[in-house]
Amino acid sequence: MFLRFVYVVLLSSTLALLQADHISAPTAVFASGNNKFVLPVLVENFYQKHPEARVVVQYGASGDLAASILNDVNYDIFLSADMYYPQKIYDAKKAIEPPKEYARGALILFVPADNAFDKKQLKVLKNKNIKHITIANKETSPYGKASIEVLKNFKLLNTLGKKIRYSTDISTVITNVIWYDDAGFLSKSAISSLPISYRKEGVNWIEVDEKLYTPIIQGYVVSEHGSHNMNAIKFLQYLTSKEGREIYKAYGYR
Amino acid sequence: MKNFKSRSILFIILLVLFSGVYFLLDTYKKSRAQEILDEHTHYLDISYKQGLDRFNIIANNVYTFIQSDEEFIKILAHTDVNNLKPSHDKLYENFKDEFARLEMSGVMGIHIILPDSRSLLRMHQESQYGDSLKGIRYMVEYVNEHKTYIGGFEEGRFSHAFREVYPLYDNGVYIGLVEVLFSSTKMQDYTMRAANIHTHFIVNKNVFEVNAWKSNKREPYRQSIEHEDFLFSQNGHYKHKVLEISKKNIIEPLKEKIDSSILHGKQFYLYKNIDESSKIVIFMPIKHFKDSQTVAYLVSYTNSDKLFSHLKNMERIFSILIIVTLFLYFIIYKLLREKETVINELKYDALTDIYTRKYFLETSRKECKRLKHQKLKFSVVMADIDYFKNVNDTYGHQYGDVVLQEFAAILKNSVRSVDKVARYGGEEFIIFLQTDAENSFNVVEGMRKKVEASEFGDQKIKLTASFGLSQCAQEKILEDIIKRADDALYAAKESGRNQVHVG
Repeated sequence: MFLRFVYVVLLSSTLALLQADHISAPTAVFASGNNKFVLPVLVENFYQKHPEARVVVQYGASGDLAASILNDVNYDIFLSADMYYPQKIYDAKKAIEPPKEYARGALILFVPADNAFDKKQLKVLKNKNIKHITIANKETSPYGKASIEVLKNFKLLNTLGKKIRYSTDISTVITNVIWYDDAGFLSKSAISSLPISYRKEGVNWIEVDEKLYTPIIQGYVVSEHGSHNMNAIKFLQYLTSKEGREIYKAYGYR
Repeated sequence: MKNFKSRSILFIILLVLFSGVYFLLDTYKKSRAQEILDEHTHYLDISYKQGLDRFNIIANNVYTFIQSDEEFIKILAHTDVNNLKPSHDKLYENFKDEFARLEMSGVMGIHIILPDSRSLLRMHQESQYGDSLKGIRYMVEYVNEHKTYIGGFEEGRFSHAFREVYPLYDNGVYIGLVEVLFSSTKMQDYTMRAANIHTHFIVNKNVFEVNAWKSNKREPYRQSIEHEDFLFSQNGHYKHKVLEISKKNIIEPLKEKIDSSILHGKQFYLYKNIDESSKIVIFMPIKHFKDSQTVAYLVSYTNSDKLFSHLKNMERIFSILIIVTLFLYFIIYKLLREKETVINELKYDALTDIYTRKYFLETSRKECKRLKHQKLKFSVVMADIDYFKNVNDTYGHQYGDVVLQEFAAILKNSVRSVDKVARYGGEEFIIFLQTDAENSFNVVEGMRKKVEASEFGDQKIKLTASFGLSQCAQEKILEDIIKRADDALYAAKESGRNQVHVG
């Protein structure tokens, strides 16, 4: 709780400082964790088209970011991992429009290398060697919620519930699989952070059947301040353009 | 004297029994404790080896990836030995992203080294390259020479590490090696996470400071709590306060034992009971790859309720053993005392403290037989206080008792220790003298004179006594000799008392 308070204070103070300078007012983007892999690429491409623009991205779990916005932290664009949190922000009158979709996420399951993984699919989780299943925090992360749904729909939640460990840190999930033979649910975009030797589809990971979880529709909202920021408007245009969507698709989004 | 001896024997027997049982119990105590400690050592050993296996698997993946990356191999194969910079820069760019991912997943460093043992690229310390590792990195020289994989623990220019070294080839031509480094803190993490064994990885600073690795910035080193010669690479898992508590509660009480064992470089363990549990500390030696010298220890801290309850039970059993032994000693001592009292009552006359008639007759009979067999002479004397009845009548029975005691003392003090004086009944006494009639007469005459000269009791009354003496002659049994002495006493009384008659 204290840490979250510090986080909010730090965030608001840095943004306040940045926004004092109107000429090069940077766009403050709050983005959910799954964006960590794709957004830097998108921002880089955006800079090539708009060299004068500046985008500052703050990553975090959707729930945490939404909480700080509701706590009056200034932002321009909020890229959530679902529609729920942006809707809440709109309801609190901290966004000018209702949320709109910018991407659809996909969930993967990452396990210790198994050549029959393709055939076994989720049944691999019944393997006794797998001691823990790491998933994102179900309270604050839509991917965490989706992971729980998958286990529930596959009727594994009761038997495997005890094995679940929560972690919002992607590196923890990857380390747990690589070092300790755990399993972990990740957003498909996180594949790019796996060492290349651990990236074989059907051996190291599988895409979870999308029928097993409510589609992860990722929505964004814009603040009053953001709607007056030309950079923010241009950035949003690029994000929702065909090119922007292609970049997201390349990183595993649907 | 005799009592003292039997008590000593009893004490020794019990002591021997006690020591025997104690030894057996102590042996059991130690062997069971050993079993539990061995179990803990075994788990630490397994978890350490699994950690090494995991290093190997991850490193092997890195090696396979690099060896099959044509671009990487091509750049390495075409390195200009006089100008390393272009290859260094290209390889760094080529591998940067993958290294970031590997670093995130727990690899400490990746090092590309040329066949001449010069460092071409340290992914973990990009700006440092071109330096020769000859004489510093034994493993590097080994792989360059033998062109085969090796893994082990070795210090380097910048840090000590677990290293996995693989030779790299371009179309069958040896072009250098790749080394994958894992930190000792990773090993600590591994034992903690995989086996729930809390460990400290400590390195001997005397060994590692030789190669000047103080400049290392990747891992924060601090003084280890276990020994002043060792350093500990600290990461987030270890809180200063917790370390201080462990130092105070576990290490300091065991300091002497640790100090005496740590420099031998062999595995050892210790334990200490704290809060209803035994803290087991195992020092597992980590050998240097080159000369198998112990340069570091993986020190585990585990708790064992099993060991604690075993030790507690043994303590209880030892207390019971001591109590039972003391109790036994007390009981047997008491019994002996009682027996002694009974014997003494039969042996000594309660009033005069000289032998009883019964004891006198029993022992004298045996004596008589023995002396006869050896053809030695002996005499029996009967003695009687003259007019003793008058003493009782005049001064009372209590006074009479005092007179009897004093009279008995005179008789007893007049003979040697081999002779025997006993109360025969009332004021009549009997004496057994191991000598002939002539000598006996002199002794008895001496007694008579002493009695005559003595004053008895508070009233200092004067008394005399009569004596009848007989020397052993033809008689087969003692009673006959006594009869003759009695007759002689009678004769002495008849002849006017206060005299010695020989029968």
